[in-house]
Amino acid sequence: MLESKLFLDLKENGEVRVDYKKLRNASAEDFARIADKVRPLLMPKLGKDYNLYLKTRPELREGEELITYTLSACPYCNSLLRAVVFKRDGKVWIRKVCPEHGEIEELYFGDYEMYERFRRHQHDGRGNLNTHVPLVAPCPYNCGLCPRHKSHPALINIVVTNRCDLSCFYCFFFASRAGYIYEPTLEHIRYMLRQARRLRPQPAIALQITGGEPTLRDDLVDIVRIAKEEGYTHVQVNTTGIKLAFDADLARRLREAGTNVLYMSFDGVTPYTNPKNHWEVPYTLDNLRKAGLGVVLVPTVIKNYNLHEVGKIVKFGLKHNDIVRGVNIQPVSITGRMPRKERDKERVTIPDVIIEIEKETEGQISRYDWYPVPSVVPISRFIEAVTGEPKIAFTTHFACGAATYVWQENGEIIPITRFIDVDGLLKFLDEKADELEKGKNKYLVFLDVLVKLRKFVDVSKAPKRLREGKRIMRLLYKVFVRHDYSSLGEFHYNSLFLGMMHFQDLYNHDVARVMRCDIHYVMPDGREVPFCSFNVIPDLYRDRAQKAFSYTIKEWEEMTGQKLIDLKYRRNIKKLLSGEPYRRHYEGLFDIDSIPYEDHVLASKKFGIPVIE
Amino acid sequence: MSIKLFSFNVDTEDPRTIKLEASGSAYILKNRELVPVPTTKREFNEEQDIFDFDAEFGDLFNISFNDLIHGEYIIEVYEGDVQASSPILKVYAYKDRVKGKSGVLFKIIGEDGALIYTDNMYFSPPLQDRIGRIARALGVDRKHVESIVQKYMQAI
Ligand code: SF4
Ligand code: SF4
Repeated sequence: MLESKLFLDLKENGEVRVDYKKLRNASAEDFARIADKVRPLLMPKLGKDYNLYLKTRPELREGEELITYTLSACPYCNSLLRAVVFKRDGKVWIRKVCPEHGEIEELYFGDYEMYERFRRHQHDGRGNLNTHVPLVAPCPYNCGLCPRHKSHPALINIVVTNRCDLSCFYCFFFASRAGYIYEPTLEHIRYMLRQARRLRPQPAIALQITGGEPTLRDDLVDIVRIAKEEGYTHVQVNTTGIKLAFDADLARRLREAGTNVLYMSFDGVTPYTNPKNHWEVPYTLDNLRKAGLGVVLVPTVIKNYNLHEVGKIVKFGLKHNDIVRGVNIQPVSITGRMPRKERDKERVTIPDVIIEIEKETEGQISRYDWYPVPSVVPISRFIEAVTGEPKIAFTTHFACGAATYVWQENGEIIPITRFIDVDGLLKFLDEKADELEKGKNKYLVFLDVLVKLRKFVDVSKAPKRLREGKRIMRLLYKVFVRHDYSSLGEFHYNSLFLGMMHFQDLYNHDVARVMRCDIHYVMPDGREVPFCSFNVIPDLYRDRAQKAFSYTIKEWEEMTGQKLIDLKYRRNIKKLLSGEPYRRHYEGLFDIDSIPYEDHVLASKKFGIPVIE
Repeated sequence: MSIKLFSFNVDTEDPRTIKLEASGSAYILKNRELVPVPTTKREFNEEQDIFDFDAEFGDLFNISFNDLIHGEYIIEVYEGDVQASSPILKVYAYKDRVKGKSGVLFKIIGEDGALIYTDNMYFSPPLQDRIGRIARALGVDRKHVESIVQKYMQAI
């Protein structure tokens, strides 16, 4: 029995470390037993990792209007504090007071009107029947999942390596800066994937493989296969896309193994705003086209850096929507500690980005075209009430994310709201779900849906493909009356999904949001931790757990015969600029010839990526 | 073993509307009979009670202290002590004023203080099935559990 010689190292400072190199041949079952033993040792501890300061109620000042109270963590000591959420100058703010570190105030949501509109769409989950840990601490120090968590997972993340071929200046996660290598074995990954599928009544079905840079693992394709074997029907890989720019075969093999889509970072259309992968993206997209593997662009938006380019990012997505399936924008989450003045230069929230897109597209995508994530719950509720089977429901907090769909026709952008009365349809489906839950005859409800569905659609305003032969109506009938989802692909054809998720940080942290989170990480000790605990309190979750199951850099180098430093990417800008795909992809989005070669080189180097000159 | 029970009443609109009240009692098993545990009331103390409050209601109602502080709320704490080493049945009567629904939920705590059984507002089977389950788990007459439930149903 492996666990009898657990190779556990308990350091004086309380650090827990498993001798991971001895577990290279351990089975998924061995990992399950080891994780059961290690998990309680890694949980955050009251008094050591955090304190409770719940007596102090932050005050409101003149000109401020109370919205609600909540709990939040202190950015300096992780302690749990009372916070007030309030309205001032048409915006929503959060304020908390730590007895040790004073008052902390932060912008929570850049537009009060949108906050109120989004709030009306809130739907909560029903929690989970079973969980990964018992209830032993207040939220968010009990992740997870613990019995009070409100949502089931919509997307599971698994970190398969903390190695990366870049060294972005803002990242503290990658191996050489962390000082250890976290790279779980395939059997360990299998164990974690099983853990994340344990929840009832709704186990996870969607997985994101992430890192570090997952494409650095030679066995990435095997990981995708294992995910499919373990029952994940949707698998996406989160990458910079750099390796795929030079390796068309990897794109093909990932697709053949069952990868559904790539999530690729893309922070802007120019070298200044996207020094991470600006030069490689055109080649990556071409290789993905050859492989038939779609991609979602993932821009991180920072106020003084690239907010002004979000409209162009959307246009880039539309220009290449033969292969780009969506753009999922992430307003910056501020990592580390930063004074208020500096934060104000970076801080941007969901409404700020939505309003900027409205401005840049000259109103073609307006603020009213966006809906908060939980707004779609009536759809899953209705289908669940009809079929009697649990369905995935996106029950996050309304302030966490927003989305819409757009099409492009003759240069004009058509958002979904131009031809579907989204508010009306969602309200109607919610009412029908109520009726079904109260026991109304299914066939009477169907008949009503059949008759009234057309009321919510203006076929004449739909994109041509959906207009022809009233295809949009046939599609909606298939989904809501016959529960046949096979034709949903037709709906998505030529469309571009626009999404937004504002991951939290310790300045705007809200316990009400994280306890509703449906994007989770599965950790090496088998816990399933909401994204905004895993990454927002990394010292208590991500780093502690990954370090416990890691190799030292020396061990890894001896084991693999590779040097970590040799893996660093060096960019050949000249070659990338001179290739035909570069111009083809960026033409019309910025004046390509106006940027001198030296500026390209400087942008890359400033970001931390060396250039072959 | 010391026993902690809570009653609460919450009315909040953010992030979603919750209008819920609940109050609990505890019974100890003595000679195959369920005997009420006497308790004394005291004020809720956030730092001292937050964990027990969440532990009590996280699984029963999928609700926590943080949900309550989002709006108007009252929480009361009831504490008692039992000498005998036998399981404790906790009974919570609730009224959900949004859904217009009321009911009774159970928890069984073992002699060692560990949770043996808990209901869940969203997933638990119908009351009659649960009464049978509780009676079997505690080895008491079903009618006895039914009469306790009756008392609460009338009160809400
Ligand atoms: S975030 Fe969820 S899992 Fe974590 S402590 Fe809070 S309720 Fe529990
Ligand atoms: S990841 Fe963060 S922002 Fe997204 S749903 Fe979870 S708590 Fe909300």
